[in-house]
Amino acid sequence: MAKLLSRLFNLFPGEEKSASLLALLGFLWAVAVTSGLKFADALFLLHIGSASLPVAYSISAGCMILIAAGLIYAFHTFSTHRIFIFALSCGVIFYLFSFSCFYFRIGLNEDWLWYALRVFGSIFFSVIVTCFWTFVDQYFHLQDAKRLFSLFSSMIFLGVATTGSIMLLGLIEFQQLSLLIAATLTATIFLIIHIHKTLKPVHDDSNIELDSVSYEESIKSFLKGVLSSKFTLLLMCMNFLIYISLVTTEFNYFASFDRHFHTTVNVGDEADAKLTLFLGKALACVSITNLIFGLFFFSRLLRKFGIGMLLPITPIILLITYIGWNLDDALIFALMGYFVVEGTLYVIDDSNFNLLLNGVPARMKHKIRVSIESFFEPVGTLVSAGLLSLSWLNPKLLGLLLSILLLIVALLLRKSYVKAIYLNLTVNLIHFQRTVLDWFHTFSKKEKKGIESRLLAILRQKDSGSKNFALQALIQIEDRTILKKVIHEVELSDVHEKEEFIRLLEDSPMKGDILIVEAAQRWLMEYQNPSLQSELMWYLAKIGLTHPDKVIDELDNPQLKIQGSAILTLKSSHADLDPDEAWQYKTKAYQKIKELLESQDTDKMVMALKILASDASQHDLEIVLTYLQHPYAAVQLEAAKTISQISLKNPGKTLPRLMHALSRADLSETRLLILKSLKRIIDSAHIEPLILQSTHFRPIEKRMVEEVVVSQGLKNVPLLLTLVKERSFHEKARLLAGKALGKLAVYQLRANLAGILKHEIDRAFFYLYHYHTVDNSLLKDALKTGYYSVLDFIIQLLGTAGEIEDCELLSRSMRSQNLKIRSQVVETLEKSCEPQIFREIVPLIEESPPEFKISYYLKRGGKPLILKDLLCKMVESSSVADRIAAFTLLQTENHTGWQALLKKHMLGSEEIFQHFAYELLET
Amino acid sequence: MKKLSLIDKAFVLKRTPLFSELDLDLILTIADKLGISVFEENETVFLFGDEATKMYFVVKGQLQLFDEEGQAMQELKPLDFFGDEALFNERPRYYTVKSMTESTLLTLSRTNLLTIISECPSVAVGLLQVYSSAHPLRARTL
Repeated sequence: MAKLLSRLFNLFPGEEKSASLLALLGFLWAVAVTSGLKFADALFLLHIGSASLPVAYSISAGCMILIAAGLIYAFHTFSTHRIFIFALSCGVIFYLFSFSCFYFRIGLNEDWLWYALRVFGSIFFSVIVTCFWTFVDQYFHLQDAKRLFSLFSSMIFLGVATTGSIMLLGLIEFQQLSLLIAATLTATIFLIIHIHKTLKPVHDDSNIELDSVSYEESIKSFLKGVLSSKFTLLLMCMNFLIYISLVTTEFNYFASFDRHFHTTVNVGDEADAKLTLFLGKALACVSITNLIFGLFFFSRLLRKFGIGMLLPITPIILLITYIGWNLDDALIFALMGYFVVEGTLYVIDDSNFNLLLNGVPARMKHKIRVSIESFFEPVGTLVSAGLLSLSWLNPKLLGLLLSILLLIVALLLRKSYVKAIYLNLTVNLIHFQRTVLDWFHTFSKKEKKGIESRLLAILRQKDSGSKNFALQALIQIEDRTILKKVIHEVELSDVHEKEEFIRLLEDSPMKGDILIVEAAQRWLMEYQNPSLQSELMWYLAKIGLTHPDKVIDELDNPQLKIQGSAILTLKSSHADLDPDEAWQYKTKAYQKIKELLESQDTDKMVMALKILASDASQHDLEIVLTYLQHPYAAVQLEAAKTISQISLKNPGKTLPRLMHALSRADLSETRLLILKSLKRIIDSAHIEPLILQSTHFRPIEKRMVEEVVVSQGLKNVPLLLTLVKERSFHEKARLLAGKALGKLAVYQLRANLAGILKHEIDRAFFYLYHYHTVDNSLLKDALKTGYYSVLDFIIQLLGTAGEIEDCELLSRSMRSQNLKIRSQVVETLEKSCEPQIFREIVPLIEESPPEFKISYYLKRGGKPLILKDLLCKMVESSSVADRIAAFTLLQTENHTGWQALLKKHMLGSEEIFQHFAYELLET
Repeated sequence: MKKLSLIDKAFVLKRTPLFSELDLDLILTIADKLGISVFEENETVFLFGDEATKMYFVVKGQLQLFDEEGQAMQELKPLDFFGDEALFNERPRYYTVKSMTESTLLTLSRTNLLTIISECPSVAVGLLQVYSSAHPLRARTL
């Protein structure tokens, strides 16, 4: 029975307690709050009449604006459960007061009591709805919300239906009802305390700023955030229109009901009045429909068609209603309006709203909720009241216009939802490729000025670390006006600062600026510090401002940089010199370069390579290429730097050597420089080896490989497609090929995606199933690694096909501790990939219990393997980790013939596997 | 408190042992992901047993670490960092941190820290150096 109920309500094992507690909470407050409101509606119509409704709307709206401001402040300052309890306590006090009024017959013959009941009822309802959903929201992420929020909404409808039944039966007078409401609200308070103590909220770690900035600043950043998010603006706009439509429609149907059931009754006889009974009947019917729809259809429709399909339903029904209503004042249209206001707006749009809020920037979510539910409602009510008071404006025509607008905004909102969800994920996107200059361009003029002054001020400080860092920043900004100020500051500082300044300029595009040249020449004359002198001479030699005759005596200077600057000057000498003389200088320079390269001193080798980098020729390239595979990493790096600056005229000869050097390079920086050179000369024949080589590269290097492949254009599309499909290759290599393919020919990738992923999804289920069923820790680790590797491949390939800017972010976020972040990945994938593929991967990525996940392996026709068969299968895997784990266990268990099998697998396998195999065979 | 700009955050990071090896480009990129938290005197930063979602760098002020029984463990001063351990072992906080004076902290979320480590191994090396100097005679058992 429990299992059946869990399936019926989409509950996962373990969720029963939290779901039932929150469902009960929804039911309790809904009975209490809607009883107060709906009876107040009836009492108002009976004692005052619908003509005065706009006055009641205006009072409610005015009060609500003040209360909303308080609520925003309260949500910023206090915990949600405290605010919820406080709000309910106000309700208890008010309904005890109302009971007293009826008991002591205070104000029964005056209008203020009916106004007070109506105004408090509507305000109280809005506040409690906001508190309830904010309270519930902290316990669930987006995917849970899709399954469970409709259950909670349904419980609210059950509460409303109970209110309808109470009204329909006409057994309880408002006096007794007030007491009952106060008692129910008190019970609700105790339930909240219990829930707060027993349930654990799902944390959001993206609200970094919220706990830091002051309230004034947060309002400013809030407004800035709203204006910068198109989705948030549309969501706010949609809800504002909903509120205006709601009030307008409510006014229209109340006016219609008033015309159809026009009666006046005495105090105490309201419960039996025809209008009260009719309202009760209508409320009960709509609530039961809501209940059934919410419980059994909403979440299923949502999971099947997505939120986008549900968004236009209410606007379309409203549009049809108003078209008919404008033509004929029949009761059916009033009932349809009633159905929208009491039905679809709650069951569809309120539920949608709770889900759509996940597209709002996470740090603003609660504020947007309060703004919409507390501010927009009163402002919308006020606007509606104003519009409805205009005698020349037909309320039904107004409704028609609003429904058209609502439909347009709903369609726009649907379009921007996917992007908004992904943008929320990009809170965790780190722009590693940005340079200082890129950052500087993101600042406003005022901010740039502030940064400039701040950095210049740091230059005047004593901390040399900070000074160097500031100097680096100021130079990288590459602004000549700033440079002038920097030189002024450096003039005032010591020789070490000057030396650092000149060193930092070595690779700057501003190195030849006349301001720097003048300063350098002046310092060369003024300062005798050997270290500064050598730095200045090297700088001047690099920009070609030294003459061979003046440096010829420095060729054997013990200061390596001075010696280097002399060699560089001779090597670069050609202008204004006799050709023979220039040739002699060059020959001399190359002799010295050779000496430096042949020394055992790496500093000398690096200097020689630096000299070769400047004004390098094809002849220099031949020399430098040999140093690319030097045992010292620093020499490799300098050689790579030099090659990246030389024009590569003979790719046929250079390409294989660069490819080989790439596989042997020790440093990431060296690999990046080699890739930079490869980008200029690579051909289609080397694309495959390059991609296969990249599996162990760092992320930044992989991005560079991708750039190299993409730079080759469409001619490699068939090759890339073959690589993505090739199962014997490592997932990382296949993924890189897939990413490049996505950039070059995304439609081709999409067309082949289902076929590529089918096998991978099977593999993921295979790993997952056996991970949960084997009990050997080594095997478990290997299976877990395999599972995540395949899952990364699936997610990133789907992201690529869905043109997600950074699909690595998806797989990284999928491993986040934060459930809310993981659920956003699922949502992004759902909205960006084909529905049939998404249905296939849902069991892998949703937060369901392991038994659910592993049951899918069997449902898909997967076979549970015994240990021996599992090891035999893993031995054949393309993953080295699988093979290593499998052979280790085969050896441990002394499986017959494992040595022969291992020897067979050694042939043509990766180097790392061969090392492992030798070690295993020796043991 | 004066608002910390991106450059200010970058300078704080550069002076911490974790990020001292990184280039300005990378430091600015990381600084962009830092939040700012301001705590009054005697305010709690986090409690023993709290869920860990971020680590902290002290910009200004003095903080005190307390164990489960409320015994003072260690004092923290500007440029110290804390709260990183629980991000790696995925366990709740195992100490309480209170601000002894008004303090300004920079915060870095777990997701961002792990991404930074994957891109910049020197950050991981920096963390290992800190851990190994804190436990030079750590038992070599797992």
